[in-house]
Amino acid sequence: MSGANQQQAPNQQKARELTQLRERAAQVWSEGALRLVFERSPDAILLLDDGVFIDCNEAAVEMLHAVGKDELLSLSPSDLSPAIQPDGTLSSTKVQQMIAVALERGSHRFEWLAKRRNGSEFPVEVLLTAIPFQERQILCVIWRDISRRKEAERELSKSREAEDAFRAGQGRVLEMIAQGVTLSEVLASLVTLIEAQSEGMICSVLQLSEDGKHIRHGAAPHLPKIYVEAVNGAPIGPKNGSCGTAMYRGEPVIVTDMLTDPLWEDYSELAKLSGLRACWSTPIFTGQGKVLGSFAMYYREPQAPTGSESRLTEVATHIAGIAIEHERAHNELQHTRSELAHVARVTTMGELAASIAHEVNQPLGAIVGNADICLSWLQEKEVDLKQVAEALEDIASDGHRASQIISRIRSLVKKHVPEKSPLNLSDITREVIRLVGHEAQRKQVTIHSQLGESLPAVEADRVQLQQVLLNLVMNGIEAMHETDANRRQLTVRTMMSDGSVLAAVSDRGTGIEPAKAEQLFKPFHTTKAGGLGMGLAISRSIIESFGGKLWAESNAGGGAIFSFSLPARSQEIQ
Amino acid sequence: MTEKPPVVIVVDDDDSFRNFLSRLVSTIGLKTVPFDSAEAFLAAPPPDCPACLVLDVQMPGLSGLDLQRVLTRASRPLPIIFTTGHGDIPMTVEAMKAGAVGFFSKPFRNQDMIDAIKEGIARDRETRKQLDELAEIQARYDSLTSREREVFAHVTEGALNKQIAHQLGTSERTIKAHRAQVVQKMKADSVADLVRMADRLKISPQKGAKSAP
Repeated sequence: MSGANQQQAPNQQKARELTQLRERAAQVWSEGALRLVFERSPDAILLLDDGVFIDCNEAAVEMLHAVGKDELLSLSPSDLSPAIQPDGTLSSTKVQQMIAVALERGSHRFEWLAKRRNGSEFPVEVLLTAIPFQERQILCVIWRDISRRKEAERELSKSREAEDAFRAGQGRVLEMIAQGVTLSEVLASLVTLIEAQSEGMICSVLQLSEDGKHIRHGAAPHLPKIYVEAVNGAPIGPKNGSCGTAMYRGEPVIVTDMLTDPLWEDYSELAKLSGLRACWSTPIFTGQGKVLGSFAMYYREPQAPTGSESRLTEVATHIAGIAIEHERAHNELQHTRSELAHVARVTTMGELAASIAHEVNQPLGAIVGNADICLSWLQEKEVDLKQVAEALEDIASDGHRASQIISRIRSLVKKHVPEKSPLNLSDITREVIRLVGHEAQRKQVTIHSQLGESLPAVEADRVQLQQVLLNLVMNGIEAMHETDANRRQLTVRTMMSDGSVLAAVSDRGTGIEPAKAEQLFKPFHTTKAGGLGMGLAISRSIIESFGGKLWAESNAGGGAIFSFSLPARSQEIQ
Repeated sequence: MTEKPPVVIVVDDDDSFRNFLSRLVSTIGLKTVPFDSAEAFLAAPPPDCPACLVLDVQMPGLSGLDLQRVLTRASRPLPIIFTTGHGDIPMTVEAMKAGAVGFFSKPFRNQDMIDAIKEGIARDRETRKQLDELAEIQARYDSLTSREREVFAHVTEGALNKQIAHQLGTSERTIKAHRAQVVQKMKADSVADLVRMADRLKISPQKGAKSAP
């Protein structure tokens, strides 16, 4: 059948070709040509017979820095490795294991740390092949130097680690912002992080003042102090160094040599004095594109950007922008909060107006009356100077008293920036009770106070803390409007509780429904005809701003208890 | 017997204000009796001389207005002059309605206070005179027998002897004798005088009858 013949013909052809190939190979082998593979291989090849080197190639001599083939063959295998391999095993032990594997499987490939004759170590990839010879097993050892590959791997992992560290650093700075760490600390950390990414580079962040005309210090932990101080407060403009110009133009300004660049004409002396030569500045923008400040990279030698810095600049300006915007929003909020607190204070003082007038008029009444008496005495023929002096002394002391009352009230009414200081809650409570004494009398309320002695101090703003207490006490008095006059009692206590200092104001008013207790703290919630409904909301935000809590609960004996707690400082104040 | 010198009682919780009032009162040659609270004043014996009270409206404990309410119920209501650091209209109205001599907001003119004190003392002097007279009439009344008191009551009601005799179940002559006795003991000039005395004593026939032993 022609089909079968046609199929058989190519197979026969192939077999013939194969035979020819084998004959040619046998010829090559017999002539020893392949021995050159051994001799000229760039990999080191050694033959090991029963633990002794019997042959090696030139590459082996070269790789191990041996004087010659003879020297190499005179060595024992243990001379070619350090005592311990990088994985911690003894080289001698590991060699035995590797050989065992090779004998079992026929060959075995693994990485090894080898040692040159001069003692230097280098990584190799080893291929062990077992060769049967006269009923023995000869081992063919092929070493390939993998120093370069290892080096490249190390470089790669190093740059990956650096990248990871840089990202982690960015995360840490963002976390600081979220935690409300001060802006100068945040920016200093950011600058230090960026500087760590490139050798010889010094960085700074500057802010643009609120009026948009002046430079304000931001962070420059590694720039010379004299330079930082000179720049702080300097105006921005079209020719005002790198940063002042970058903020003015709203675009990056690259100055490769500060001593020759016209933008630095007015500041070159400062640059020289500070040992700075190159300054590349990039503006920092808000999300809406308004300039907030600038980020700058400085070098001590003239230098132009290589392009690799652009990513660092991008990260720095982005994070600095977030930090500065966050700070400004925070300040804005603080300002609004303190304005609101002030309004609430003034409103409360308005409610107290009658009592305040009473308290001030008390000494004024005596002053005016005594002065009148003195005047009429002085018109008499014989003046009893001793009498006059006594009356004048009384006038003076009442004058002081009136002024103290007024300054006490003034401190509550005037605007001020809240400031934390260590305070004794019992003292503050006493002051507030004195302030509302007349008001309580007018409303026929008796105030009982149980104030803890030697309580630890709390960190808060005096005026704001007085305001909170004043608010709670006034609310308590108001709450008993419909209570029988002989039951109108307000109890004010201060004490320690679970490491906090606590103040509690209990009234005997109508009380609060537990379900509605939280509603009381919502802004504009009011039960009073003339109230703003801000008192409790503001009081709570004040207490929370000092790390404390403010809450309301029902009084077991009828009425309500309003309490707040503030963290106790470790040492008490005297 | 000459009258005892008048005093000004000052009730105020403010030390310096009390001192000032003492000084002011001394310029018109009077003495003050100071108290720092309404309670302290109530605990002390009442003055047995013409007096007036200078009272602070707002004090811890009993307020000035509270004290006024207590005093108006007394047999000899002392004239009160109020002082206050800050007075409002309802407070002033309440005080004045209850018979206060004056109501002063601090600071005030010394002369106004002196005038008020003088008026207060004059009022108290008058009250004391009235009370003395009443005590005298009461003493005379107390000297009447129970029958005479009955007759006294009926006479001041305007009843005729005949009517009284009928009422008390006795003769007109007997009544006539009692009546002469009453007029003499009460030192009355006329029936009209007797009526005035009865009025002061708040005597009526029923009361007369009831008070009979």
